[in-house]
Amino acid sequence: MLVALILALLGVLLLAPPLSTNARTPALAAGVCMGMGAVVLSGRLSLFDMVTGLWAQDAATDFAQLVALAATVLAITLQRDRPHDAVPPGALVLAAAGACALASATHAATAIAGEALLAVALGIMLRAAGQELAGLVWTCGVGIAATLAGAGVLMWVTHGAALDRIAIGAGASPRGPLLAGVGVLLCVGLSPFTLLLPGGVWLGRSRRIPAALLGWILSVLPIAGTIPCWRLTRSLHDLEAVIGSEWRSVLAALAVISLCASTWQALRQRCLRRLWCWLGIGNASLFAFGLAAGAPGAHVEAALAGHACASLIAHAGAGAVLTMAEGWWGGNTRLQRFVGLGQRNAFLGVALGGFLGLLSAIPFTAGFFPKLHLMLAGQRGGLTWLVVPMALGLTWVGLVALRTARVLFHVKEKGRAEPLVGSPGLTLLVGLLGCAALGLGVRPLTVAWGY
Amino acid sequence: MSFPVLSLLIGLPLLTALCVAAAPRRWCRWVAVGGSVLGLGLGLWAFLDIERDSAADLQAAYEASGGILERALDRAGLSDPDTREVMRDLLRGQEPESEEVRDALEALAGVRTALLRRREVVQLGQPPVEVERAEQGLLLARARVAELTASFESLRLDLREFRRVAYGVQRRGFRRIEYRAWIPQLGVSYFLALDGLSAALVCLTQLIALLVIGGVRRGNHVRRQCVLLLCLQAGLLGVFLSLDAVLLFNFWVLSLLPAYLMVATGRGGPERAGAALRFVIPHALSSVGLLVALGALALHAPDGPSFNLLALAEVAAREGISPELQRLAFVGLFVGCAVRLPLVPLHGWIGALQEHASAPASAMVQGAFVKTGVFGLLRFTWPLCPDVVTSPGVVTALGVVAGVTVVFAGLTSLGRRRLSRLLTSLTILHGGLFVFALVSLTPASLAGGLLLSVTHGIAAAGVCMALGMLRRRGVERLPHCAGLAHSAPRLALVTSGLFLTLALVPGGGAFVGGLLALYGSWQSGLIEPWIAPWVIAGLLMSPAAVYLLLQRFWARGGDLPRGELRAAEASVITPALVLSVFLGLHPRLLLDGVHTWLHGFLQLLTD
Repeated sequence: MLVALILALLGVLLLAPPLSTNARTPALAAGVCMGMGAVVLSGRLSLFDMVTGLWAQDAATDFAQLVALAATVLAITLQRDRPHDAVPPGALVLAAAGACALASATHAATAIAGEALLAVALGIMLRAAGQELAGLVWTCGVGIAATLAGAGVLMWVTHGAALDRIAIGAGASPRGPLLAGVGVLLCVGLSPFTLLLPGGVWLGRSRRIPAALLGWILSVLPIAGTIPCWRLTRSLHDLEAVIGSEWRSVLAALAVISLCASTWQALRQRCLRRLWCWLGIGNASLFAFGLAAGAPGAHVEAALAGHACASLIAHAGAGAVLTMAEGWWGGNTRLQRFVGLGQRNAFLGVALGGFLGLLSAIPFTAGFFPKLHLMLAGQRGGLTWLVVPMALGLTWVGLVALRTARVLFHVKEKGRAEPLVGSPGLTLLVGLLGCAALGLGVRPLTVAWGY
Repeated sequence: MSFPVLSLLIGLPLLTALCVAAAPRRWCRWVAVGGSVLGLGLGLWAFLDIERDSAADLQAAYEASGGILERALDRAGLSDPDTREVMRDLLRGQEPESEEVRDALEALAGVRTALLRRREVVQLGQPPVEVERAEQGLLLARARVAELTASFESLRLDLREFRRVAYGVQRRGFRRIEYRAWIPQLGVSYFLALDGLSAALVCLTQLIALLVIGGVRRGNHVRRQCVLLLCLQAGLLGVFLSLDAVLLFNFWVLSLLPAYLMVATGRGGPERAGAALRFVIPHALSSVGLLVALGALALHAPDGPSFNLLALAEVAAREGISPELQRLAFVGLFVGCAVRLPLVPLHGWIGALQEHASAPASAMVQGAFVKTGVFGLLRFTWPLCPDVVTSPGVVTALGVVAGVTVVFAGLTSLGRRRLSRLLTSLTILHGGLFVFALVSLTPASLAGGLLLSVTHGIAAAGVCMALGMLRRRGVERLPHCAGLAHSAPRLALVTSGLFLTLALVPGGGAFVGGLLALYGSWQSGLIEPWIAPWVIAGLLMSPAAVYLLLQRFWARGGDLPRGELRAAEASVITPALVLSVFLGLHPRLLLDGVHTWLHGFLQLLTD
């Protein structure tokens, strides 16, 4: 919580006029985020968090905070070349604060507070990007209300008090299984920050989000939004003797429907940024599937951590390439523009195709083993009937990525095309992310079990 | 571990691809050819060496598994040399995961507890403070024992792998084992090994890759074509050498991606994008079934999840997998392989691909990629579902599928007006005949099926390259072929020879293979007798279709001249013809190499 508090203060400071117009503000914001990352790594702030009682500083929180901070630094770096339409770094830091708060919340009230902070920061960022806010305000409002209602239902069913300490009191509701399903559906499905459909539809409908910001949203929000749900469902798993296990099927089915629906939307897109956005929403639904499949002993947390890393790499990499493309073509990222990119800059063509492919389960990359682990956990947990459509959905994602790769390597005309030169810094970043994707594909235990 | 030849075999094409990507454009093809020649040499060496004395390899297998043992002892915190020696002696027995090991572990814990108790008794006469200290010491020792027990749990996990590797290797006669635990929690390992089956298919892949790379035309896309070809080659080699289901599945999917990109972005027909999509969609969907089936089997392994194909086959052979699960898994595995083979009605992709893809892409797909279906049936579908594949109902059903495929292919070959479509029909026919041979489960039929398959790979790749040459000369449909033998006699001769080999005409390896397959099926008596006449009728239709083609070649007329076969072109397709004829004249070259594998395979299924 202290991390979130410091970041929030800094975010407000950076949004104030003297600092928000200063050219060195991005560097300052990135530096502070890195410093906070080091603090999280060293674990020095955990004492304060444990004292407050309503927040937790455990491995999951550390992980989410590190991902949020890393994504924030990346997003600030990616925008370096486009100062005219960049999102204010202060807003990004504020959003990181919201994500950190949400990830460390252990009570429904603190989770809602984190969500509210995140919603405000997102509003500022999207407004700066020229996005109409009416839809966001409506969706976030409904989503937060639904989360609150869902948490309330679950607490009533289980007579519990906190997300990670739910206890069955005397005379638990006889309609437990049904209500538990409804509660989880409200809590997870309608939350705007798990990016699960229908709660995450606001992102799919947003049209003017720059690639750097979109990368941040896609990599941070699902993790921050999923961790409170993970605390909740971990308790529900322990209570299955009383409340039944139907909620798992409901949640897994919702995740699979969300995956397939968003991939279908991705297939219809003619703009690469929006295609990526829908693929990212589909990819986020695997977190919810993991929550449903994560029976005790399945070690599904390891798979979720690996999946989160793969998402971060994929979204940061795709964001970097698309940021370069926005620079080349004045913000236009229509798919037609990318025809023959592989011929004009083979490295970036391969990288973009690879990063989109990472969202499916391409072998020997960071995306494969977490998804395999989730599938096996689902099979072990009796969700085989949902594992098959999930695998088909992932195959569909792979086909969309392959179709995009074909466009990238399609040869428009004979002869040598004019080469496109990317920014050296971003190209280096793309290379490093590519190495990380391959490295985690070959040594998946580095993140999944080492944390 | 000895020198990792198999990893090198897979890695060499990838390394060559990197060199090709970095080389100047005019050197690209030569770099690729050089890498392929090296790969072919390695593959041939491995194949010809496969039947040598197995003592060295057995030793290597024990060394590999011994490495697991040493690591396990390290992780268990047993640093004392004497204790390690005792554990080694105990664990190197025939059954390392037996009750004795558990007893040994429990005894070890018991000894420690007894020592502490004795110390406690000695201290009985001491003042209360000392007694309290002793009790604390006892508590600490108990904690240590508990810790040791936890370590032994992980030791047992590793020993399970030890047993799986050593036992499977010993029983099935694999060579050049490369084993490393990859994700022990999921039962996934990096497990490569070579047997007769994989060695034959590795050589085939290397040979076809060399021919195809040699036939890539100079131009703008030579670098990309070579890189994709080499990546595809690496993926296929990985499939043929993997003995872990997850590793195999990784390569299985990995081989699909470059194949798709080769078809979609190569120099094919205008509809190549659609053909690529028709190619990739059924393969990707069938891969899902394959993965789910493998996952279900792996989770039902009695010792916890394991993707080790040898261990799973042993479990299945000992009736450790329920018939219901085997039936469900068989559907997933068989469909996954049948799409690749291809069998009717899952053959839709191959026609479009052959018509619209570039010659190198279709040669690689028809010659080598299709063989992954053959390999999948032999490596995991049959061994993992032994009860299903030997049950009379399934045998009859598969015989009918094979018969329908052969008759369908024979009939369609008679009506084809395009050369590429004729080749497609012949490929489908070979797939059907292979399944017919496989269902019979006799040494003759299996040897025949494999010979048929290898010969088809070589000849089909040659025909694809020849069709590319003909396409450049304006010959795509049957009417265009009129008089080709007069304007380009050498090209017509080689193309005719390759087509005749594919049509199972005497003289080629496919003829011997087909004959053996039919003989083996008759010998086994497993298949219903009414299916065989249909298969023979289908087989007789394909030579008729090819004779019609030859008639066109040698007819008078047509638009002359078309250009004779150049030396560079001849160097690509002539070796294919020579080899497929040589396999017909000297089939023992292949059959001797697969002898041990064949008997191990049949023993596994019929024991």
